Amino acid sequence: MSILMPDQTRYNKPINQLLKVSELALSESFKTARGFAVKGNIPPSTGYRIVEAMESRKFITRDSSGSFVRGSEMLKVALSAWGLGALSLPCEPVLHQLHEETDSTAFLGIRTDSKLLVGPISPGNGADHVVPPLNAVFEGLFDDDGTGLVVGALTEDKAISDISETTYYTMYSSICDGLSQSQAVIGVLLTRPPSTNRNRLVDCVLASSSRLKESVSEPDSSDQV
Amino acid sequence: MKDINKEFTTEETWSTDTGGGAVSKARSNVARALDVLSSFDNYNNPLRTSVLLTHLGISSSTGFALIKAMLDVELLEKSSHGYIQLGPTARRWIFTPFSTRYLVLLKMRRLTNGSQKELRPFPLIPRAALWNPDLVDTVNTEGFSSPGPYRISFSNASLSNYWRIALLRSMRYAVHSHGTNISAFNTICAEDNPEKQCDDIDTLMKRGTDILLVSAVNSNNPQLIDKLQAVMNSGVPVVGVDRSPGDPSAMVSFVAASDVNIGRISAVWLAEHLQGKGRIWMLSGTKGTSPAIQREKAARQVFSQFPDIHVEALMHTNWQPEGGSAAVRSLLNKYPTPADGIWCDSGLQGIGSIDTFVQDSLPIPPHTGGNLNFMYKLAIKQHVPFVALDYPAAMGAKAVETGLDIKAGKTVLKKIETNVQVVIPRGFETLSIKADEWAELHVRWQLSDDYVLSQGASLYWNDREYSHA
Repeated sequence: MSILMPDQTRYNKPINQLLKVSELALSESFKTARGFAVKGNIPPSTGYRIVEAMESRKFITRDSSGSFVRGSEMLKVALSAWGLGALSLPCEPVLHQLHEETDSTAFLGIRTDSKLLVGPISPGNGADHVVPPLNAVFEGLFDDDGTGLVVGALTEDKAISDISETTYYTMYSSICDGLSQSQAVIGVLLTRPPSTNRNRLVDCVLASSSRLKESVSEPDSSDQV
Repeated sequence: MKDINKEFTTEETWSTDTGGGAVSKARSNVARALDVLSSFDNYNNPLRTSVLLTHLGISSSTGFALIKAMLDVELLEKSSHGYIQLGPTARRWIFTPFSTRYLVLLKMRRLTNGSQKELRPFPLIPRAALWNPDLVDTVNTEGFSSPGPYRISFSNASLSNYWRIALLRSMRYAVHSHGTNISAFNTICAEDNPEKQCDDIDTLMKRGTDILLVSAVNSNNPQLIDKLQAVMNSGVPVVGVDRSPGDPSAMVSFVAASDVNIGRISAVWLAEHLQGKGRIWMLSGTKGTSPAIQREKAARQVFSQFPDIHVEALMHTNWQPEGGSAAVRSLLNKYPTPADGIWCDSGLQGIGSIDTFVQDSLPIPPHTGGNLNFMYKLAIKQHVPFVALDYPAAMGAKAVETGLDIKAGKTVLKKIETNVQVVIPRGFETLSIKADEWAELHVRWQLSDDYVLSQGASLYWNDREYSHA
């Protein structure tokens, strides 16, 4: 379902174009503003200005290969919308370490009741790791104590044709509460229940959860210059 | 390979007066909308529309129409009468992979038909050295805040290899793309001379500097540390990049990649590829520099865990192809048979090493080290088993952006580690070390040999857009 509004006014049009660029930054790996313009059906000069405005404000940024990707300010806005903006700065190094420790795809997610919205991810290593579809939402049964293993399935038919699995296992741990009865969780995505590595996974997830939790909950740890 | 010093001088100045950078323009409606979105705090506390528009300098007629358009698509939502907050569409932006490697991995999966026939084993040796229990240190930089545009200076340690050229290109790109917020960018290269670097910093400060970027010639140089602390005390923030001066108190923030992981991952791969047995020659970079020291130390720690791995020699190569070539030549003369594996902390010397084996028509042992396009081309053409870890030259742009964040008074990380990609040819992954990307997908056959692939946007950027006096 498209959230775009008809271009009724000169103000709807740029907002729709902004939303198009933000979606394309997720699904494509453009190296130039022209890519956004062509794919988004935006006039080239307008596309260039939009990309420039978004890049200079870090709503989109470049990864080390030079491709555009969603940027740190977009993540901060999204997390702030959940009341969890404080997680935006420290979450990247913590997720990278969790993925490096476990080889698995590490994620920060938002849990509301039985649904889990996948947020920033640090993809696992190798070709056989779990790749969640874009904007993935999983549904499963969560423990009340905020830690555990969840067997989840995609809530909508978002499966990409060449990804066979639709059932995921999520080893997760809660971090803190957000707005609207949401809860931030950190975890790893698996395609099978953990076996011999279960204890190690639990240790890694719990350690990264407490590292992130403490980094956020102690504002005094921030050096005042 | 061309002469790398041809296009880059040891000293250069860029300023808005010399015509470079993005041209200042009136703020577009998209830019205004983005500024509105960035105005909300971490808890999404509602803001009064009229106050917000005044604060952002947006006229009422434009502002209210723009906010209505943002309400229509649910980027914003009404909280109570006259108050707005971030809405459901902003909440859905949360899916944010940190790199397009996500899309690369989808492609890799397609090539393997998404098969998961075997249960993936847990890595025997995790990539990360030790679990880091430390909090993620952040720095409140409000004390450095002042209005722009800013004069940025870069005291560069060296321009002696392709990676350092790529680092500077990455900085130039960031200066170009943030041009409206930067009035001058001055760089002086110390040419690997620690004393010259201290003089360079004096010169840069005299010319006028609001942000000082520094890549230290050597670690723990007391003169340099004192100099940087004096700069900080004068109210100018220092951002370290790539090579650390050694003392964290001499910088607000330090931008680099994990040298420990580079040393560790490459050593684990080599040891596992050799099935835990064999003679190894280590080719390190420039003696006394922090990346060379840390990579070698981490690699040695790994090799020491394999009783049948024997480190036979260590040579320093100054991260030069000629250095790699000379080191291997001398070791081939010294030992009766070539080593079973060559550990290089970078492809900069790795290409010299491989080339020497090719020249002598000897079988090429497995190698480590990435960075340079030529390393990938050569290793793939010669079917050399290798692991490459691209030390991201894109950290140059990150350092410029961090400097701008500091002057804007934003909270920044004390240490910013850019991600290192593990690149391996298909079929050469080991039990513990899997590829982030296959070498066959990573190499850029159409680009020249001397390109450092991890330089980010500047890889495809034409320097002609950047003018310097």
